[in-house]
Amino acid sequence: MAIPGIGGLSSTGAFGAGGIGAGGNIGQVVGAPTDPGAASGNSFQQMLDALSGVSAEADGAVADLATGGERDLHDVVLSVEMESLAFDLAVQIRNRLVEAYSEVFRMQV
Amino acid sequence: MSLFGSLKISASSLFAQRLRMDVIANNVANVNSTRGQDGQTYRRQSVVFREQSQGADFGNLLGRASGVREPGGVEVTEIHRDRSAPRRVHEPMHPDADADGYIYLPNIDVVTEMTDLVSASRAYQASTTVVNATKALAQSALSIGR
Repeated sequence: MAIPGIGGLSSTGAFGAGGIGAGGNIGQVVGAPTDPGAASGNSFQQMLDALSGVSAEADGAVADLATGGERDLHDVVLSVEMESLAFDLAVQIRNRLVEAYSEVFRMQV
Repeated sequence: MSLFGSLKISASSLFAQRLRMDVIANNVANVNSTRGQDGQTYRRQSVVFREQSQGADFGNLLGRASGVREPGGVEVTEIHRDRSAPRRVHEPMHPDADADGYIYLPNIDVVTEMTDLVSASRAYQASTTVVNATKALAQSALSIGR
């Protein structure tokens, strides 16, 4: 379940794969926005990085299970669930950002 | 606590109960083993759980000092060997029999193991329910304002 568009954006995931907790900080917006446009772009970028970390962890877990690795079934299922939740969150945030953007476009001049 | 906090706690519980079931399976499998890994009679094993200790980062230390602790899940501290006396059975033809013709069988009661197994699988199911509830909560939070 790789996300190609996101994988290209970030070569180094901010959160390394280390058990289930990989990328647990997704959704935490870092830093106070000084330049609003750049800041929301940056934090969205960071979120995508975290998301691809979680995604890579889930991929690794599934591959490990499929190749007969020493992994518990619930570990794999939880990784995939976490990825799905993180992805849902990212999609919601993306929707809000796009909504705000188009709201600006609809503004009367 | 991050987005996945309660999921991590439930994961630790799932792991612990899974290990407990493995140990029970080992006990049941070795109910007639006269020799364990150490060459002595196999002894019944049981797992010891404790609340997972927090890491030593600043937030946790501050929380500990002010009496506010974040829940950390469960961890297995040891696999304990039961030191109660083995069963003594008269079987003079057995290669492990002593001079009086007795062999020593493990101190395992299959009924006890079965009740432990039920307890472990119920705990596992309970943790699964917690995972599902957590997921449902997160999804309903994501649907706010949709």
